[in-house]
Amino acid sequence: MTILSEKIDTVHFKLIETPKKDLKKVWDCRDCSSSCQSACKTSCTLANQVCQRENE
Amino acid sequence: MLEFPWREGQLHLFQLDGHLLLFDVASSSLFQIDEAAWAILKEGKTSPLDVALARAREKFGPKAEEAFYELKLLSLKGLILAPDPALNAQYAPFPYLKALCLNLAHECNMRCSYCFAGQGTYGGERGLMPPEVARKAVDFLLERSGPLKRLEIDFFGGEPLLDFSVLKEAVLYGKERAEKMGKEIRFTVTTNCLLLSEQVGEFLNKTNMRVVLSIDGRKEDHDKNRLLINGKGSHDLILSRIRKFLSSRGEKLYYLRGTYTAETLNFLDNALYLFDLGYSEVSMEPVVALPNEPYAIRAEHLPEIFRQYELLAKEIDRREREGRELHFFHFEVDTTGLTCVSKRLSGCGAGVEYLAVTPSGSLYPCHQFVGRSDFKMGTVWEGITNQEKLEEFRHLSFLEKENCRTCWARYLCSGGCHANHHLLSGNLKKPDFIGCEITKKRMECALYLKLLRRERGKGSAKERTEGLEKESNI
Repeated sequence: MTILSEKIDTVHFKLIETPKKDLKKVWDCRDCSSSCQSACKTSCTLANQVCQRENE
Repeated sequence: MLEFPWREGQLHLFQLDGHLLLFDVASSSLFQIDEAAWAILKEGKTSPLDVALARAREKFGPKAEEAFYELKLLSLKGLILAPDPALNAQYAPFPYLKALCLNLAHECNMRCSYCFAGQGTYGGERGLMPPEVARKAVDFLLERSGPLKRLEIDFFGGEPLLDFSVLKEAVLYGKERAEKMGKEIRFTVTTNCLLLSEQVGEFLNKTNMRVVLSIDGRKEDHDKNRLLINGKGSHDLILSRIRKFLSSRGEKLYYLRGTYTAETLNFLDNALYLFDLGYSEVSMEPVVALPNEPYAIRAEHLPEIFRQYELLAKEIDRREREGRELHFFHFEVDTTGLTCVSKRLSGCGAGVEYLAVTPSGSLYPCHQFVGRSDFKMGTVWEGITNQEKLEEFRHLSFLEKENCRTCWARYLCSGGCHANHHLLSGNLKKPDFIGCEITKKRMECALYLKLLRRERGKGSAKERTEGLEKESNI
């Protein structure tokens, strides 16, 4: 078992991606954009939305 | 705390092209795993800990013990089988407005056969938005936005460039008023490109507006549905406008957006066609249609659609290995910088944070609800008069939707599109099966592409998007 300091790769589990923040800590800042202002305009989802505050 | 059997919707285990992937729903963590880990987790869906481990041990011996130990540690770190942050809670968004869709024109200079907006009229009268309505809509957004600083306006139709002067006036007025209030409005326009002249392009570039350019792909597919008023195909005309405009834009803040239907399921060819023309930002969307339409997507089309998405992910990877940088909208899922859980519970915000405005100033929950009279919420002059509808949408989180509470994709799709649900099931809380299946497959392919990109040492989607944003000073 090897846990690398940042990547958290182990023998059987290779971490590809995980959030950089605790998703519960920034409740309701509501500065994120509306998902409908995006490229789809139909079948809208939030999958492409990222936290705007993090970009500051 | 590791608890087996794990509950439906805690994990998603899936295979793609021989790779074994694990997505932990509550922590939004993605792993590539090996067969021993897969065996334990697969068995753990229905069996207690000791049984799952014993069965894996039979096949994998000491490797199973090792995988189990790692699983326990990753669980302690909150990366696998993490506690769900929201299932026992209710988070209704504040009734602040952050985005408006301005339907500048209930009129169109094209006659696309699959248009959900009734060729621009939304089942009503043809008409263009007068400048005073556009200005009043901007005021309405700013006044109703409370403490929010980042606001958005999207110009839509019909064809919003039919009266460019109103678009221009709304943008300049909005920028000036927002600045005075210490806010910022980002503008987007969705256009069929016919009126995308040099003068229009200059304005869009100068004001850093985002643009969504409608083109379905190859001539033979595009021209099946995207017709001019005279009934002829529009591909050549539109592509020439797009080429000219994007050459002046410098490859930023745009998407080429195509629609696929039951009659053009080969969206892989069409997405690759657009990529191979030299463009890097492409989106392909399933048509919105009632099931009785000949072009509507039906359950029997799903296997082919799934195949197309899988092939597209692989083709994007192949081209990126050759040095291209490509963004297929629905594969650009970013699990590192997601919005917080409250937002992901409440979804797109239609009817609360996001409203659509018709040319006469009527308000609807979003552009797709326009024309459904039960959903009229007020006007830009009177404000929201249908408080009942506002409250209905305000509490429409995925926790309220059938099947969503235990769906693995719930924090990525947030319960999906309210308008599609209502159109296809007659119930805002009942997601449509086909839409859900397509969404989940797209998510799987997006997660798979992350693995392929990581193998190549490429940055996340967010890092690449940030690069674009910095470049354009947004």
